[in-house]
Amino acid sequence: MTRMQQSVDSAQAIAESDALAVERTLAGDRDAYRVLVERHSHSVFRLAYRMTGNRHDAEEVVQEAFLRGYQKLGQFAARANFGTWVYRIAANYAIDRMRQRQKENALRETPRVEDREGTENDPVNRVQDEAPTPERLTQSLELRKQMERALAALSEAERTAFVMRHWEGCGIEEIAGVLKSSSSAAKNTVFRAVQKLRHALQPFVETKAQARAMGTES
Amino acid sequence: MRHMREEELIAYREGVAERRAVIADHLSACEKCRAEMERIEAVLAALDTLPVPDPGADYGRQVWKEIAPRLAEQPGRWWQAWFEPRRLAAAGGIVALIVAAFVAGRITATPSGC
Repeated sequence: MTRMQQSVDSAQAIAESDALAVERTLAGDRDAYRVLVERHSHSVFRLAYRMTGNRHDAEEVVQEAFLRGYQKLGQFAARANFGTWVYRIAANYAIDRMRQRQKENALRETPRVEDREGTENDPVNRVQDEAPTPERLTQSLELRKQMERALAALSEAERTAFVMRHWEGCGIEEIAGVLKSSSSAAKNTVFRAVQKLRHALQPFVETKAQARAMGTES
Repeated sequence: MRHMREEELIAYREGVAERRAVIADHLSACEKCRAEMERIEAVLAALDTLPVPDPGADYGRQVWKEIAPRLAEQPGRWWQAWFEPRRLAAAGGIVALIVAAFVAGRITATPSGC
């Protein structure tokens, strides 16, 4: 096999396997870490955005997670899953970031207007079958505001537990690890989060039964 | 018939319930609990519509571009964790305490007469 062929095979193997990319990074190949960053950036961004609620903080969390990941890579060793590991680092840093934001907001004494994306991402605008009526649009925007408010009202632990469990499908053990709590406490935190969200949002949300009764179910 | 508690329904919906089969059986038989579950699901379904912005197909490359200049030449090794400043400070504190206790003991010790 030629040297060039070997090099191509090695690059392909790194591209396919996280474990090999970690191994190569530890051996001094920084390009192997680039593969990991490029592979996992989107999913870490999604987690970070859902936890922090704004794009700027989410991007900061992503960068910091990969920087810390690189610094601590020796501790990762051959553990199961790089994606899960960097997720955990990101979640921990996002909690720190949320705390910092809360302090900053408390100092300013005015609620921070979150720089969520504009209405182009609003779910109601993605419905293609019919143009939203002004009434539906208003309701949708109001619901969205209420949802953002309800999420912002959760404690950091509750928001973390909810995002990790409900949206990211993380296991309770993993959530407990990030929250530095027992599994039963983590489970309880998921419950509290959903309970709070439910009580805050139920008046604004139409159930299927209501939709059936009103004849508006799609 | 005992109805399910909110906690049990939420745990079931989020896939962390311990008595899944019992709750599932109850839900299939109890209209009241099904309606309660539907209300929980409606809230969660609404939350699922909250958008996450797409950072773009090139995002991974952008992240790499940002962090690459800040990476050390070599990633950290496991034993380097023991040399982190906070760990060194803690170890230094413990050593200082031991030394202080030893010195204090020497100074305050009364000579024992035989």
